[in-house]
Amino acid sequence: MSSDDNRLISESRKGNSAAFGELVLRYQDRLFNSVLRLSENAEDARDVVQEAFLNAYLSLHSFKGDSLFFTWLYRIAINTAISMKRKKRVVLRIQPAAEGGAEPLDLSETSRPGHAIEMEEEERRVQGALAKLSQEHRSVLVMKDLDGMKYEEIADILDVPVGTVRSRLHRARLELRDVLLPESKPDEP
Amino acid sequence: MLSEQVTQLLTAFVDGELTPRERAEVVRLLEKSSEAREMLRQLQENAHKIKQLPRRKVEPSLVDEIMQAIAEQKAQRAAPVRRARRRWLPFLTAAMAASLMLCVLSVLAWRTFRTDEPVNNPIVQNSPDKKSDPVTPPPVTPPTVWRPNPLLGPLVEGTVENFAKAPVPETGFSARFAELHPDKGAKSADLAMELQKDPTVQLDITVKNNAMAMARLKDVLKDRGITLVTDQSAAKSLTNKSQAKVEYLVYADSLTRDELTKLMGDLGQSYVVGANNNQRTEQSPYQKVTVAPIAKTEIQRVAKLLGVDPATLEMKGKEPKADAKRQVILLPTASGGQPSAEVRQFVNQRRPQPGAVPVLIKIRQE
Repeated sequence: MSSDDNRLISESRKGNSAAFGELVLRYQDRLFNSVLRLSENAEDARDVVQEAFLNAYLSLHSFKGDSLFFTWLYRIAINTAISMKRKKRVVLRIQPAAEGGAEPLDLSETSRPGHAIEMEEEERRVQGALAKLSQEHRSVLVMKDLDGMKYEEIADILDVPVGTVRSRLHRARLELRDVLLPESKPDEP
Repeated sequence: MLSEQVTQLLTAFVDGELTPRERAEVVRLLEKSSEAREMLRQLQENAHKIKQLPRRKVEPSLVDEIMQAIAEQKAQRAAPVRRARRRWLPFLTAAMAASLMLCVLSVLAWRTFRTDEPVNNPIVQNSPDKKSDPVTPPPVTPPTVWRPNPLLGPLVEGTVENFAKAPVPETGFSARFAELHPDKGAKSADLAMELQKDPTVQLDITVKNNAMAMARLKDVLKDRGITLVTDQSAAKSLTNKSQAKVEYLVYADSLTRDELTKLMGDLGQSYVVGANNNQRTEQSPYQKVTVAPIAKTEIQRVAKLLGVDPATLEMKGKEPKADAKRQVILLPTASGGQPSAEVRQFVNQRRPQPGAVPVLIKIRQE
């Protein structure tokens, strides 16, 4: 963990809210992008991120520092997302992730006509496929492919053995392939 | 058709986490099998699609909203503490008043009944009886033994009794089961949050009836495909009249925190028993739950009751098994002797469950 994170955590524990505010600014985008792919839409993701930071602040005393602050935060966010989803008991809705106020970070390739629409369509398709997976499978795929985490890191976040992560990812990849395959078949010659 | 072993190698290859030996194996495989090549292509393409999902920025106002929520939560958290202190105030005041009265009455009684010393109390000294009959000898009284005022007894007993019944200040999360259903508000979310705080969970639960509570727990777990393994001594105890005085221990290491939250929500609900025309609704026997981490001494106690070493209780390094039976155990009511067949069965079949947390549930009848 960076010494700066340590300092901010220590200050936050002493009741310095501004220090925690800095931690929020530092990690909110990264966390939001991961949670966005685990949630039904951007609005839910925003709620999860807000709730996760709040939970993290309230549990800051229990953060032992034996993992990265972001890893610990991510774990809280995942649990919050699962718990919030269960609470809402909503039927899966597949919406373009752009809804809800979040703005794309990089749209530099929009010069080609129709590119943005294609990208949005592809995003919708992948997000829709992820939404069809179980929360367990979806979260390992997001952590591995989107966040580029190692098995050990994922195991730490999910509090499961490394072997479980590997087998879960195996099943998740096969399931995603099955979900995406029928959609791509009509395009094949 | 590719074998499970081959697809596992391919997915791990996509993960980028193969050993050099495994990688070489995959390369050989890809040279030989077009089916493997096609599958790898699809897997890599899908992984790339996820990787390429656009990153977004949250609105700048989010940080303000988070800080606002923190400030509100702080204020809310401060309020119950003040209320808790106020709840103590009447009992503390009553206890102090009773103690003071007891002291005053004791002194008065002692002075009134003792005869070997002149009464110095000016009120008694100046009483009309003493002055009007100076020649009457003082009445014969028993030796100086303090006799409690008969009015004092109930007062003292009542004070002690009430004091004992005064609410114990709550240090951890505590809730009534009726509040824990997810549809009934924030308590369920609070419980979910509380359960995330520590690596182990101890739930101290009070119930109306131990036997009913255990039967209900068994049914609710069964609905989730989890078996409540019951030690024979505990089962015997539950059928005994003295069960009301026994504290029962249930140990679980196959439940996730989310399952635990849901389990608590379900246990608080009324339920239907009987069949056909004999159906009736029973009120939940579950009353209150307090959450804390499992104390080290309790871990040792559980290990002793299971007949295992405390160090092996966590099952570190033990691989999960796909077909592992999910089970929870109602532990023996007393330690010592050989573990029962049920306990041995539980121990032998234990396997780490993904996301599961060690949970000790203490159930006692109130």
